[in-house]
Amino acid sequence: MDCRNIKSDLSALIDGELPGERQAEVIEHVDNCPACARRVAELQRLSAGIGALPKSEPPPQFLAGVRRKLCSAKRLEAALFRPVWLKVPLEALAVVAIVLWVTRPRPFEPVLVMNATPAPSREMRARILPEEQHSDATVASAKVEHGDASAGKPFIGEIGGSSTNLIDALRAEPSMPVIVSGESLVAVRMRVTELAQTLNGRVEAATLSHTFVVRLPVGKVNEFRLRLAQKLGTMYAAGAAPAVEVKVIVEPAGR
Amino acid sequence: MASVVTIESTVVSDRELVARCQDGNAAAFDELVRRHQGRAFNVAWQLLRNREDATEVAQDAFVRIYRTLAGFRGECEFTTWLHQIVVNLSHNKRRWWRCRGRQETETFDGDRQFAAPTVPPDMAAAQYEFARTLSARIAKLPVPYREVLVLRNVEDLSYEEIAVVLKCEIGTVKSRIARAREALRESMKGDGLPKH
Repeated sequence: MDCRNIKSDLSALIDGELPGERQAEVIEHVDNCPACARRVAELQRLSAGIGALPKSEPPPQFLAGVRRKLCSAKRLEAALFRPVWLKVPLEALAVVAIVLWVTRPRPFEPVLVMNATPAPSREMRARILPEEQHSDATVASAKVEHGDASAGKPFIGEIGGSSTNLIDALRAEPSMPVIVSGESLVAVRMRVTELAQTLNGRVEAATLSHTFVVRLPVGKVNEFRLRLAQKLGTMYAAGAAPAVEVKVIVEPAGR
Repeated sequence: MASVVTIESTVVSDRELVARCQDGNAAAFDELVRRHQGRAFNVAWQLLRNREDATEVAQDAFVRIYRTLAGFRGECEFTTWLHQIVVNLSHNKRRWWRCRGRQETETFDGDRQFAAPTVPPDMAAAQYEFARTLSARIAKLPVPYREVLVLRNVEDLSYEEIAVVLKCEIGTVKSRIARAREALRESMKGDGLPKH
């Protein structure tokens, strides 16, 4: 018998957990192998040492502590589950509070790199936005981002009446996601839903999600993206400060 | 005159006490706690190495037992069930520590008890030192190793009972205990094992 093959059996041997036949084999080996006999002796001393370690005693007021915890648990239970006339409104209130908290306006995840590109100069703004939309507030709120994952370069543009570069880029790259900014998640979602319905599509996603999945009839995808950019551009040109950014992923229907 | 309910712990089995608890006998539950509080606390302390947390975990284990007692059908021993809950709650406590970035702290609790008065002073000192070193080395073992060693060598559970507590196969228990002891033996090499 090879010493390496019985290493784990030596431990079971000192615990008396080896089946009869195997135990006899291992004992026979240990009797004839000084190295394994030494190992067994060491393991036995270790096990005895662990067993003899001083036991820590619980505090004297242990039982009183258990009783106290039981009373608190019972009180909590009573408060949570009875009476029904109080329980139902409280639960409803809690749900509303959670929904309000989760849907509160908040900035989008930093992965969008909103500020990766400096805002265009006033002269540049003049070229890409209509004359009446030159205020700083307008520029800040009228951004549309879209990234080209394959090229590894984010493209950040601004939509306005004459932002033809962006529209052209969206037209040329149908798989490019559109990322829009708005004053609230609800407002953006409403616009996206409205537009999707106009094109016989629908918006899929959890109500609280920041990512909309829009299902559209085949052939309507590009039109949706372009109109979305134009529609939201118009919306933000009104001057509302952006509080939320929403990524809009467009997939062909039936996928 | 007030009536006093006393339960002889040497006569009444755990199973009987559990049955009485299930019938709503609060004194029987108190007796279960008194009988097993040391065991629950010691396992939690060995796994967490912190008296405060060990007390909390052991008390919570009894609270959980009280709340789920109605569903206990006696498929395993009461102590196995208790061990299972204490180990699970200790896991939860460690996870709670990790989430809050808290470091493990160890306290050696053997100052009073280990050296028996009948042992010669030099031997007592050696035993004390050995216990202290061993305790520190066990604390440094990975948690799964520490668990099996505590359940086997401190609580004296069989491999089968440990498998039930940890919800794993007996083969896993066997190999884990062997690896744990090997790791401990290796870590103790420099410190030397006592010859007696």
